[in-house]
Amino acid sequence: MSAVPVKGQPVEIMERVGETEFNIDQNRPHIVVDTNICRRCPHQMCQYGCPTQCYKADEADRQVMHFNYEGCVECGTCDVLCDQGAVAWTMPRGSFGVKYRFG
Amino acid sequence: MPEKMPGVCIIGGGMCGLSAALKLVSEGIPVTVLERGSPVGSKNVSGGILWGRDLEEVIPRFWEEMPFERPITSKRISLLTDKSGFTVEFKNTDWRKPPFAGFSVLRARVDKWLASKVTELAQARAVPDVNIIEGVLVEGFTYDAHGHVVGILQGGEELQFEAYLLCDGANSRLLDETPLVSKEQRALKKGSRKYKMAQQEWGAKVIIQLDEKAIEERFNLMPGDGVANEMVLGFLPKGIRAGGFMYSNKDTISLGVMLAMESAWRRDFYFRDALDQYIRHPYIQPFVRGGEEVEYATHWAPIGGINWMPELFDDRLLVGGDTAQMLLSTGLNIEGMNYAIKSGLLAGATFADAWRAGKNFSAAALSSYERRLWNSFVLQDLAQFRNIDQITGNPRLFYDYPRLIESVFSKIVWPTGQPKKTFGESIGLTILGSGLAPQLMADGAKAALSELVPASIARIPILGPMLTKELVTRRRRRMLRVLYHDMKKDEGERAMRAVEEKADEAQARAAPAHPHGADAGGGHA
Repeated sequence: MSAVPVKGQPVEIMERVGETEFNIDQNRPHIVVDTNICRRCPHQMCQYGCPTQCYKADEADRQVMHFNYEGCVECGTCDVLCDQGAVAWTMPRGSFGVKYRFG
Repeated sequence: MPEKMPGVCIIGGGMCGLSAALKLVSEGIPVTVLERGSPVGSKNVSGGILWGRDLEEVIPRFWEEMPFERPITSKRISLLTDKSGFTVEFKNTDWRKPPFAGFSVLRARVDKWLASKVTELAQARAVPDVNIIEGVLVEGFTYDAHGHVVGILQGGEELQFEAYLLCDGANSRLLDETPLVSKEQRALKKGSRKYKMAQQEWGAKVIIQLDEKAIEERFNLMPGDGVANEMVLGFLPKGIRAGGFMYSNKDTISLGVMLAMESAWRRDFYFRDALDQYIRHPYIQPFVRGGEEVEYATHWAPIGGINWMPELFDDRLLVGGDTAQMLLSTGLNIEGMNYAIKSGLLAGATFADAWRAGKNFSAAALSSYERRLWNSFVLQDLAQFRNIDQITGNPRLFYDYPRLIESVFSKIVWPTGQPKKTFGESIGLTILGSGLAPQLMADGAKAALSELVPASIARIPILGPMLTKELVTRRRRRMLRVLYHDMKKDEGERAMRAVEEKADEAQARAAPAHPHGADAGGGHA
């Protein structure tokens, strides 16, 4: 739970993601990103499209992409936005992944 | 060895799948629902309004049991700019009692209830082999020699049911491997980003918890009543097409945005910021301030409509709901759950007839599914509104026109201390001054035609569906050609870049003692 943000005070996205429940599959990442391909990516749209900031360009070197599947809400956006072939997208195994209480 | 299973298999426990299951059970047919979420509903997200009363076919007076939030008595449409909001409201207090127009719902609750109704009905009617299996992911299909689906893969094993209903949501991983999608489309799916972006809108929402009384006061409601408010988000950077919604639940508010991904393909805008700016907008703040965000959820909305609809039937296979692009988004209506329910019910009825006709689940036997959909509102609506993207895809609607309305009303309302202008003058002069008059007229004419022509074609008895299908096929062929061309262009550019990079690398290797050697070395490490 976090308070509704007010004018002039953007919310830290990870705080918002923290409101949602997950059952993280520690043994098997359901999305695998070949970050070597990301080094040559001309747009890096994944980090703009991902609703939960699973993709984050390195602050020192913008061409280095960091990926973490743990906050993934399985929307599929990165798979669409990545036209470089870096994203191998599958569903999490049964019952793993995001677990909405409201939906 | 594949294991033979009894009855029909439904892949995906959402509105479509569970409605189909209810229909099948009511006809006494064994059914297995496979849902990857545990419990049912925990993967399902919708904006939040269930319009219509289609569930009555399987659960008479369903509203007496369904855990809905509020019946919708008000529909509001708002245009927002940076500081202003222009709202039209239609309120009908009759809608608070049966027959209701619609309900705000939270899917985790409603879908769980629907699943319990399937089990309940199976027990009451003593239908054997009815299962709702939670936490099970269908990994793929198995095919016969002709490429038609015969079984599913689950946990590395093959299970063979009599027939399948594919309704695993907007982000279906299974649809694209079935014969319901053409080879050309499958190729585009792999290589073209625009292909999926043309079919899906990006949605995100937050659930905001507030006191029940506070919600009623803020939304101007009698106890128990509810509001559905859709908005045009004119405050985002020019060119981005996004809509918002705000629905009143019992003690929460569903607040979310829908974004055309193609329009946000620019390297300075995080999609999620659309939601953040929306929640902090001065028009929204009075409704949500002081509340607690309790959940953040995202979901695609399949806005491709009939233009991107897959084939609906094949041997042993039907497709429905979001997976089949059955969602109506006109700007004034956004409805998906009722289309999913109806398609599920019709799929159930189709399977039931095929079951009774000697378990004949060939494509020919299942083809009546499409006919049933044409005879219902599902395909009729999607056919009538098939060109609605010419209105909702117009970037002026999301930037210039909200500003135009803002300045018209500012002129009419704002006291200048001077004698007033007539309304005609205020409106006419503002439009002329904005320089948008020619576009406005052209867009108006286009909007009228894009509704009128498809609707009049779709309504022609018997021929309507055939003509519409032909026109849709032609349009899709055109769109596929453009997408294919773009994909090849992108591939070419990528190949060029790879060659250039190789050349650069070779050069760097050939001249290691270059004065800028330090930089080049950095690139290698």
